[in-house]
Amino acid sequence: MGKSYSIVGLLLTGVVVLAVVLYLPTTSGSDSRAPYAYWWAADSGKTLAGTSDYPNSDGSFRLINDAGELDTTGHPFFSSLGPNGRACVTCHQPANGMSLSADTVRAVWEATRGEDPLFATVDGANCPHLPRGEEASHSLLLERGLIRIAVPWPPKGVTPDFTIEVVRDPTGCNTHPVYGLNGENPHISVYRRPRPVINLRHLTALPNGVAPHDKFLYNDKSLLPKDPETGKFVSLQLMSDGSGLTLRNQARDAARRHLELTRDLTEDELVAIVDLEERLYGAQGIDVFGNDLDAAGAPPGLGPRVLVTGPAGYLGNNAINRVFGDFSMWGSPDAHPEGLGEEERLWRESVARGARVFFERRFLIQDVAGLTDKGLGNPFHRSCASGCHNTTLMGMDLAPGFMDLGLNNLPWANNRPDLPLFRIVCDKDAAPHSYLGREIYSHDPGRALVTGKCAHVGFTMTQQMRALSARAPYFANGSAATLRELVDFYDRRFNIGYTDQEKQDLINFLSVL
Amino acid sequence: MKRYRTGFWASGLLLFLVTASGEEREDGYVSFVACPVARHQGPWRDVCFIARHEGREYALRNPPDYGEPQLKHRILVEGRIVEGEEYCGAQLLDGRFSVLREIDQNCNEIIPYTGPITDTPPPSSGRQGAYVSDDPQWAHLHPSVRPVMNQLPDLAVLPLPEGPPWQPQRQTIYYPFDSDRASGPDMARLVQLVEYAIASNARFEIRSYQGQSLLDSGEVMTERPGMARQRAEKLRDILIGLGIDESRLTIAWEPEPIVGTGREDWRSRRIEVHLEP
Repeated sequence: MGKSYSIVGLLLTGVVVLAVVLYLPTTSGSDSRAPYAYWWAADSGKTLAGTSDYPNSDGSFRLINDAGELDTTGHPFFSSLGPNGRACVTCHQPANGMSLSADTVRAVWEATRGEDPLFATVDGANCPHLPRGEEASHSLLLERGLIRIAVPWPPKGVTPDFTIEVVRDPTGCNTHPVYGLNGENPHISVYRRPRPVINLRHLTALPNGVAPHDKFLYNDKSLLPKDPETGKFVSLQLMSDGSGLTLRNQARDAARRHLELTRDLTEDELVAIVDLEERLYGAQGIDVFGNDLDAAGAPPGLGPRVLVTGPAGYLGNNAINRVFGDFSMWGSPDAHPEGLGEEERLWRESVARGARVFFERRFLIQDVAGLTDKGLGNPFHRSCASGCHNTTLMGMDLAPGFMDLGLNNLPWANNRPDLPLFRIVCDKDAAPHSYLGREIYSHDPGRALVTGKCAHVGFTMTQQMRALSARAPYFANGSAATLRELVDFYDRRFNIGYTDQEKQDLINFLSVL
Repeated sequence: MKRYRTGFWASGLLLFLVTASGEEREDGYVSFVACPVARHQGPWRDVCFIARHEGREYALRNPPDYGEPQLKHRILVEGRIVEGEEYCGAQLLDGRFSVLREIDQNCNEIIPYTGPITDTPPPSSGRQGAYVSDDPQWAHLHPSVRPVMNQLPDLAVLPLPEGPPWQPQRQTIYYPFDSDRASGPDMARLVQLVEYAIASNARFEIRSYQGQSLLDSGEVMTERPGMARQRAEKLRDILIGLGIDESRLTIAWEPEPIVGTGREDWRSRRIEVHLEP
């Protein structure tokens, strides 16, 4: 009898514990704390502190300027250099992990009635011909944080080995007589999230310990491109499609494209922008319970401080170097400090379990062109960390390589009636896409818009995983509004079969990065 | 354009090697096209691959980063039977296999995990060559143990002499069928040769070939025209990009495929690199 009661008691306790864990404060990826309060407008003349914290729903994002306090007055990153009133900071907001969250966009829209330069029609509208000030004209930016990227077609100096036609054009831009594919100056408009301008020392480092991939692209074993100014190999990790090889190139291109600057950036401007960008580090700095993630006692891979001092470009898919380090101090019931509340204890243990799921839980990674078709085998049985997110402290793929995860190409892409849809047909003699063949439907051909190769349709470069709580939505096309949607995408895409608890553990883990 | 799909033609050459339908060749070599089959090896291991041919299962294992099999694609298997050795629960072959370019949706079988395969040696490393296993057996290692990755073995091969007397060096790079993608270890070796060539002011000579594969069925697969040139030009660009002066570089290619014999025809698809100080 006593034994029966014990079992019932244990079961009830388990149910209660489970319920508490599942309903703990967790990330939604949104910031309910008036994001406009943290909006950094162009030419604001504010001072960027050496270390600054910006609240979000999971605690706070922390930005470190390794050069110390900076008076931004006149600094080209913070100044409206072009005619549309924008600065680099417009789309790379300190509060948003130096990216731009959809919540912030909405807040700025409401606070300025759409007047802020962020909504310049050149790319802050779904297409430049749409009337500024109407929500519908800016729907992709407002709802998904997407900036229009107009890509010349065909790319300069490239003869594509495929044809492309517009199947669906909800923004009207790809069929527009001026801005579209059949205009006098043909362009393809795709819509992408601004990448976070933090931890760039890690992104630009060439990989260590995985020779010859400090010189060779993983995909096809061609050489990595070189910086045209220094002649040194570049990592290709900066942009999702591999364009903008260096920070200097990216700054030049962004100034003309997004700021509508009609001149080149001066050398002084370039130096100032790149020098700042290379000194910015960021990660979640305060957890949802108010604890400092840079402080002793927290998992050592968390917080931005370790990114300032940590070595860049190492493989972290093994027991010696784990991508985000050790979480055992949060995972063991014996390791918690005395007096820690029950809710916080359970949350920490959930984060530690999430780290283990991320690192250890293998699943069949299948039909990922660029990955499973290049030496690894299809399927490839690995975990998130030992598959694609393997760079220490950062979580992008160390060996430079592009892949089609299924974010942009049908049938795997989330249903996105708001995005254009293209039909791509490979030329007869071209190498086809490894798993989609010679006829592909895509919202964004990605790397193929740079290389002109049919086999590259939908390829993108993995991105760093830091500051996620500050910069929803996720993926290059903003398909996942929350971390739950991000986890659900992978679960569906690879038929992983995560339990609800595993999903919540993963979400809690991702929220502290 | 001559392509392997249209390039199948009967050959009497092989007939004497094949005893009868359903039986393997007497010379110990196999050459066939089949769907790869993935075998799940449990929660902590990579999958391995086999292929079925003439009533027998063959294990598929390539050198690191040469290219693992892919479901949704057929593979060309060319190898010699290694009697008495098994891998992935099947007869081990010494040779190469190549993933064929076009999609074949019929190739989609995964054998579920039913228990450990005791005959399986450590899997070929490929890209994971520099990895430490993430099996739970390593869980006792605390992350404070920090022999970072550059202290783990990388894909490079034996070091070359750093000073005179300089010696001629050779390397042969083998390619999958219809492919110009070399493996990581081969490129790591090439990087070493480049450093050697620069130090010794050597001349580089590369000669590229393309091939045919004579299958057990008597059919012949021929690589796409121009593959030898494509491989040579890609390697030339790599060498120049790595710092070799174009004037110190001689490239040549054989436009006609090396005729297949049914025995290790994968060796036809190659580039020979010769370094003369």
